[in-house]
Amino acid sequence: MSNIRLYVLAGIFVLPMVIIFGRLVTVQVLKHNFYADKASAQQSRQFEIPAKRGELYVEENGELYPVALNNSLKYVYADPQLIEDPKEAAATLAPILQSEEKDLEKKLTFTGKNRYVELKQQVDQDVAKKVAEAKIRGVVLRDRDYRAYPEGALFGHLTGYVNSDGRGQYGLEEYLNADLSGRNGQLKAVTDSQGVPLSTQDNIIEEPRNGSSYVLTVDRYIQGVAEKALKKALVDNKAASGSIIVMDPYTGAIKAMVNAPDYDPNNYASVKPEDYGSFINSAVSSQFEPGSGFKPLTMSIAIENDKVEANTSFNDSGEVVIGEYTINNADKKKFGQVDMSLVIKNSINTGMVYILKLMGGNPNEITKAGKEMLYAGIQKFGFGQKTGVELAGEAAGRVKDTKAADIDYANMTFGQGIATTSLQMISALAPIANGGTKVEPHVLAKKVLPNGDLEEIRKNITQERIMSEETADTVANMMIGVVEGGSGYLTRMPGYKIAGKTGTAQVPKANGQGYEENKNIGSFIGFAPVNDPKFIMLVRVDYPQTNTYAERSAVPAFAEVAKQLFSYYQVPPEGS
Amino acid sequence: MYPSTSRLVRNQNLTRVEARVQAGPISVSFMLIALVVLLSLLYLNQVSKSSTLNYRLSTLEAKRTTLQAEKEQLRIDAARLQSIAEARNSQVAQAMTPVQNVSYAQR
Repeated sequence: MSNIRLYVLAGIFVLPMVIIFGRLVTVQVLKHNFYADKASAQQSRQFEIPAKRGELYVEENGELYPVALNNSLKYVYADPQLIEDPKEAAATLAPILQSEEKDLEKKLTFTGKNRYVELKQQVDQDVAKKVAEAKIRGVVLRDRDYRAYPEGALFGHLTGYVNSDGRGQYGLEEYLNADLSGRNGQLKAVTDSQGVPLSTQDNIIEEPRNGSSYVLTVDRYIQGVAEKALKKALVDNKAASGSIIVMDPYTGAIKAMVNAPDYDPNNYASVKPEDYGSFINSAVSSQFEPGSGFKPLTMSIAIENDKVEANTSFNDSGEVVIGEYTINNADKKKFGQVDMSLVIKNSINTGMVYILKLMGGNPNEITKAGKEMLYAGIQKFGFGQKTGVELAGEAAGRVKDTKAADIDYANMTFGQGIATTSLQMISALAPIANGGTKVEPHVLAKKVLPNGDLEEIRKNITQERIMSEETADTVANMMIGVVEGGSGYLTRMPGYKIAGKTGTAQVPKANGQGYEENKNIGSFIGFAPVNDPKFIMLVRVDYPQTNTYAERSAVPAFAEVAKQLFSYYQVPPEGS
Repeated sequence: MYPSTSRLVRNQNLTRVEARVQAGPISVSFMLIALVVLLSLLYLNQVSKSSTLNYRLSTLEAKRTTLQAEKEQLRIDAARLQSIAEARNSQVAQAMTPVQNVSYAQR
């Protein structure tokens, strides 16, 4: 055998071996990661382990009552292409799902495109069992987490709701969405040929982190009382909408927050498009001009800066001219010689403009210094900025800066030309009730820890003093006069000292040119008992038709709730 | 070299015990078949036991899921029954009369 033949023979054996070896090196060494990943993708799958959404509670006598909790139900859907006889399927399903047979038949008929149609949401166990037993090809049951709101509309504006995508909308559900949602877990598991995970040591599991649960500051009883009073006020006044807020004047804890019209978060999907406005928590989201309810704040700024005292006198001629504009009192009344207490008691607009002039040091004209003092005071009360309450959609309001015209600042002294929210107003008035410290309004009291213990959310909060105790007392006494002998007379109660201030504000036109005719917003802010207030409350009634002044539109609702609160907080009348 | 005659040799047995039971090729075959059958039965028994346990496990898991769903539903029902609206419309509340005169105890 010649050497060439030997080499050829060797080549025939060696060459394939070299090729095979080279291929092995490529597959196992050079492209190791690529093929390892490919194999892993074929043999294993990633499953999402959903986190449990956190729940919301209120606390009563140490017990927790849920106002938003989870409900694992099923939903039924169908793939019409797989339905053999839509008519028969509809006839079977209609009584089980309590749906119209014709509607179902229409949904179950394949049109060439509809491969997925939802037949029924929130199906309970019994119905799900019946659907499964019907064994209709193409009809499928799937699990889905829903949210239940046991208090319904009563807490609707506070809780908001969770939409079909699992996202919080409005209220706490939206504000706390990330925190309530938690984080889904992952299971990376080796699967069988059907894709079913096998229990092996190679499985990687990342546990889900459930969402946090919270306890609200809101009191169910007070919330219920406020809701009832507000609805009655709206009916009595033929009013379009309204709000009531009850707050602890020392801590800023919201005890009740109700709005009308409201909606039931359990049935949010049934709200018609023209009623979508009812989703909005108008106590924190709707801006309005507060009107005379603002006067105690202007007064407190002037007193705190030593510009006026309770007995500072003022001669009211019934009108004051600012440039080309004339400001009058309500009903063009003239009060003559009055002191500052009477300015508040009788809600004298011209008196407030006089105070603005005194702030600038010149009783005859409005100066830049006066405007700056008022602006700084208003800023301290928190107007023009969000309060930071834990509710979605809070409005900041609007305050004109000192470059604004004199007439704008003159109007601001009695609450016109300034945009606020009900929550800003009650928070601003709280220092007058509590002796001068600013409060941060809040609706969250405690966090529920994983072991079930409760943790206070607001610990070691230092409250900023924004006026002296003397100033607060002086203004509070002026506000008592409003109830004892002024426009708040309908809330007088024997044995109880109540301080308050009415506000009947005009409504600006949408185009910003002037005010609406025959439209106003009536409000009343008050606190009681004055020597140690248990609550501060704001009642707002929008566009009342039967009573055009707040003393008859908003005050009666305040009186009704206050009466219940004295009993609830066990506050006996003085001298009893 | 050692002589071929009987002598004591290291590591050599002194006596030989003859096997009393002797199995022929047929017996060995039968025994092998019996062994295979026995092992098969053992395997089948284990498989069926495992299947039964799996079935029991899946039944219990399904039951647990159902009970959990029922518990969740009952919790929601309990919360709804304790709601303000429910209390307000209850027969007890309907039968209540407003307080007329309140006497406060002296502290």
